Amino acid sequence: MTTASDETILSVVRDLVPAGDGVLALVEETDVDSGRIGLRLYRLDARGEGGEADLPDGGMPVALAGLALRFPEAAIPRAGAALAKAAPEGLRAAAGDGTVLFALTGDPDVHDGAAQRLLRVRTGTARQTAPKAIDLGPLALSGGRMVTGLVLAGGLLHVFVADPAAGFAVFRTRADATKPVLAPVLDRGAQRFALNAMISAASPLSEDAGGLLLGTAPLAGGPVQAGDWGPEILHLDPGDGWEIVAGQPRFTPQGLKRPLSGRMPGFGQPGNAAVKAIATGQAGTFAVLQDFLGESLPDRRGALPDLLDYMGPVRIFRATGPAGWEDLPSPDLPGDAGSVGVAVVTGAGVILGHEGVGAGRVPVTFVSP
Amino acid sequence: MTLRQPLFILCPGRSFSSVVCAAIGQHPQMFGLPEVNLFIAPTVRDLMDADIPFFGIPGAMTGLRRAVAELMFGVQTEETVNQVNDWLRGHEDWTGARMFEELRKMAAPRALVDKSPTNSQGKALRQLHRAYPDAWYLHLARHPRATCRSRAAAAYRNRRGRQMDTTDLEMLWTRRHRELLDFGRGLAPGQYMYLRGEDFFEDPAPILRQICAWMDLDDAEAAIGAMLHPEDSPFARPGPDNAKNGNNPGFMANPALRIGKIKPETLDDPLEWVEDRVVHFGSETRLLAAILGYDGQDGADDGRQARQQGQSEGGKAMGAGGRT
Repeated sequence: MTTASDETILSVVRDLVPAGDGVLALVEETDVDSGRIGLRLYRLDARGEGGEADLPDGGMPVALAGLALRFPEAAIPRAGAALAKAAPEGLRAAAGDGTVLFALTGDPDVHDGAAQRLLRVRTGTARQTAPKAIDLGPLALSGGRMVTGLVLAGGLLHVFVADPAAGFAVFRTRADATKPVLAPVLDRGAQRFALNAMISAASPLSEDAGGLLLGTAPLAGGPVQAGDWGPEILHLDPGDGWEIVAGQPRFTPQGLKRPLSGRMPGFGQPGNAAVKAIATGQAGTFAVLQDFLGESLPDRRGALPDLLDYMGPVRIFRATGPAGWEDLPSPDLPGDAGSVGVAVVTGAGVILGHEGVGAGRVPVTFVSP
Repeated sequence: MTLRQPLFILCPGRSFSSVVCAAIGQHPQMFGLPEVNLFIAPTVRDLMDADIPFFGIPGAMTGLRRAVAELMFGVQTEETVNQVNDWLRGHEDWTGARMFEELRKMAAPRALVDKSPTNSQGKALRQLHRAYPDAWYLHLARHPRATCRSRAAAAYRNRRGRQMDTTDLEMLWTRRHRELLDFGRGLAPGQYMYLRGEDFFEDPAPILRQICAWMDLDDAEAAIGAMLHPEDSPFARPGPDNAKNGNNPGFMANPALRIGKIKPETLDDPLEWVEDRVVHFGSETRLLAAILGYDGQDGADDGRQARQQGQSEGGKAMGAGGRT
């Protein structure tokens, strides 16, 4: 039960880390009255039920806590300390494995791409080395064009750049390169321009399948709707190729692209929605879409989509094969919850992590396929 | 025989539709029409009645006359056009869709490409879709600044400039593209495609191959090669004296494909065709421009880049004048 004082606590699931048959849920609690922020860890079973567990390092930055849980043998906390020293402005996002860690610096509330830095630090070596900056010049960052995500998969670091006017871009470099150089892989929202303003979700596929699944978000919302505003799901392979999994057929510099699934943007519902999470596992690949409920802006070219504004009804889809996707019955979301941020597949189904009000609450929802 | 579905090119006027239509129409399986305007009036008689100076749409019938002459006789002369006039009068009670269907049969086994600018107007668009719900639809765009500037120049050439509020030009671009985006949303997957005209001119062969793949046309090199020569279209030059126009005059004056990067444009500068005050593009235009890919990232819309390029390379970027 939520008490009056509990209502000042906003809980947000920041990460869901597979652990045994279940997951570890990292939940950030913010007291909206005092501004105090705390991090809690919960151990949940395959259906999202469970209780609080001890955080291995309570002082870990949120952006690194999930990595520390995924790679307990790596010296993530030590690398985190080095990053904290090198990046007093804070960390927005991180990606890594047992040997290397990349961190995007910046205050999450300050939207200025030009001020962003990307640091790399070794985590698998006995001797700590100082974080090194990677040149972000090729990304042409500016006030409205900024890095919004990092994914390390298959030895490649993927850097996602959001641009509300031109559409997203993806850059890539070998994670173990002596001097990493970020090279463009996709740009201009994969030739869908502002209607693919950002990569809002990504998930590495299995080694057999290879590459990444990417989910997109369009321009920030507003009163003028024209064309198909639904988001897309794209497949980026480890080479230079990419395909539309669900989305708008179009001409591209890489040839005619048609959706492999035959499903149109937003899986056929052209409203202004974003792909909020993509998760893969034994039970399949799941995509979570959520509608926009934020403020309307007359000119959205300068405003990055705020994923917290995508807090409307949730729809879930499951891949039934390389080309087929099926609609799953929608869960009772958002209910009193809010924005979905993360999903993970367990042996029983998929667990969604979202926002919730109340202290000590684990804002997750289990969906059975 | 099952007739191949037609392709309709939809855009505001001055969006490169003449050259794109003529290019696609040169594919051996296609036939590119001039401006036949068959979906703006209920019947052929109404279209004839509209083809009057000042109060109507002067020249509205010319493209149809030329098209029928070419399809019926294989040649456009004063004599064949006169015979076509008689034939059209004998079928003046036909609807536009019925007449279009007759053109399809005449052109078979080739499929028709129609780029009549009048097709993109709201009522005509609905009429078009009712008649051809399974057709292919290609939404074509050109940068709003270049489109409006070209339309303003044409309006002044036609001595109608003083009757036109030149800020309407922006509204026309915005309204038309908004309607076309909404129209595309209602079509079946794969039935609608969007093309930036600037991309076509920069490197047309890959685009034409993709158009062939989209429409399930033969994409052999000979077919692509033919498509690179819109000047070979039977409507690439003025017709006989009794049917001179029926297509864009700028295209007919210079119909060859001029391949190259089009001079970049900007959304930011004042609208140069509005002379009595300083006006900029409005927010809806800028939003639609971003949706359509005019955002300053590849030189197609970057005034700063244009200026820098002009300074450093002596302005090598091509102008788009005359490409319509």
